[in-house]
Amino acid sequence: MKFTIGIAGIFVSIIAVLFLVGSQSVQSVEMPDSVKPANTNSPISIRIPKINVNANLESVGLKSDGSMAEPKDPTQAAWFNLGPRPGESGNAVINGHFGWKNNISAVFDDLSALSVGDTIYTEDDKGIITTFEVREVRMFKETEDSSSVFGIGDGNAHLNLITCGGVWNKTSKSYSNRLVVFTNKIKN
Amino acid sequence: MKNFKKGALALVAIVSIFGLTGLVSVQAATSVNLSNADSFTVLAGSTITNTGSTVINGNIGLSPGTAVTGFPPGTVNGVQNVANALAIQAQTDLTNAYTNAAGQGPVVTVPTELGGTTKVAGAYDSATGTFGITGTLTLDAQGNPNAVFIFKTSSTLITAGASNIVLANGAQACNVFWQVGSSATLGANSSFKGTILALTSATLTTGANVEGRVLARNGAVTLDSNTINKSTCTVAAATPTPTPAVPTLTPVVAQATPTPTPVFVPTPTPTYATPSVFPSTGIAPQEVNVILDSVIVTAAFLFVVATIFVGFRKPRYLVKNA
Repeated sequence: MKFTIGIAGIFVSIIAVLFLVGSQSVQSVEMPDSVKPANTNSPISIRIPKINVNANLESVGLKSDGSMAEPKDPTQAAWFNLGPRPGESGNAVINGHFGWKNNISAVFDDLSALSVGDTIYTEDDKGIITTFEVREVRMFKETEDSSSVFGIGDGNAHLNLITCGGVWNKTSKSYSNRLVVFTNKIKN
Repeated sequence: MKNFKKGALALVAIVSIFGLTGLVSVQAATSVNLSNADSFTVLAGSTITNTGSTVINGNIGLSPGTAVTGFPPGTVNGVQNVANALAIQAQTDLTNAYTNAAGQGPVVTVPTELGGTTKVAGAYDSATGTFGITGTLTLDAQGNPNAVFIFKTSSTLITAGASNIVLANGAQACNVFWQVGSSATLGANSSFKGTILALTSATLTTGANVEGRVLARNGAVTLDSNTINKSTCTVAAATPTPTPAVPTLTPVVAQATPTPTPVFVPTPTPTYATPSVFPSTGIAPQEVNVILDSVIVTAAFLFVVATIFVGFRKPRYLVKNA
């Protein structure tokens, strides 16, 4: 009798372990390799006082699907190194994760709290700080064309921030929306 | 005698120190003054002949010849000076520049093949009197934006297809000079940096690109689907001068302001990637069952331990009491 209970106990524990492993593997997010750091005057950090963001920047390029790569570290943001640097003419783009992993919040969790007029600072490897002011906060559908966020623009310097929003889709392992914060460079 | 020996030794030491200093402080090559030839991207003596969609950013000049052909299909984003006073003066100045470059020293003699090597500022020649570039030649300014590189040949300069010159650590194409004793030929799709000062002619084969100038004294410049950008030295940014206060009084008589003639300066358009797909910046929401799972596993583990403990204890106990 005791033997039977022992066997049953081992069986139950194996099932429980399998269940746990299974649910955790759903959680893990495939992080793409970031591209090698670009040359001089590359941005190295971003600061958004309103939402208490003070994060280092990774330098990333494109993934095989043609989309911008994301930061490896959810607490850091990533600068798109195939576009302009923040402060240069055109749309510089920085993205960051949204969501919690291992009880640590991601860098752009509170990005939606930004509103027109809020200030964003970037610093490059020469210590030069560039200041931007939020112009527009807009939600895109995940499947919408993102060219307008990256394109050459109007000849002025802009910094656009991207993160996720909306509802998590378990099948596609992605959120339904993308939150974009458009900013203008403030002339010093 | 002893004193004499000591003195001799000191003398030897002094001489050797001076000798060493002399070796180390090699006088650097100085920039070649192009004078009126400076404003030309392409200058030739006999003809300028083009095939294909060549783009020349800057002025072209020809003297004493008069035949410029192939524009269009080629484009000159500048002025064509054919056998005019400026072209004649530019050729005279080119001769002076050529002589200046040829006379610069001290000269370091290096192998003919420059590809795969890195050169620091200075004047170079080769034992054979020719230079070639296959692969990449790196010019290292070692942080000095005024570092001058002069390459001197008594006959030819020939670069291979797809060869290129890399400017490193502040090197500028405007400070690179190629004094060529006969003719220069740049290979297909090669990338060349610096001002060519050729005694006879210069030929750019299909797709060769130059950042610098192509200046030939007596012969022809032959082009084929090339891009030639005149090199201009960038100087360190000066401290901005404070803008004087704008006078508020309106002048009674308006003065005629001379309008400067706009000079066409091609602005390179940076090529940026524009991904059309949004990045996947989402992390799956943490699920409550993680905690539940932990509880289940712990409970199961305790259950197993307890079961084994009880399962093994009891029979022993029974056996003991039997």
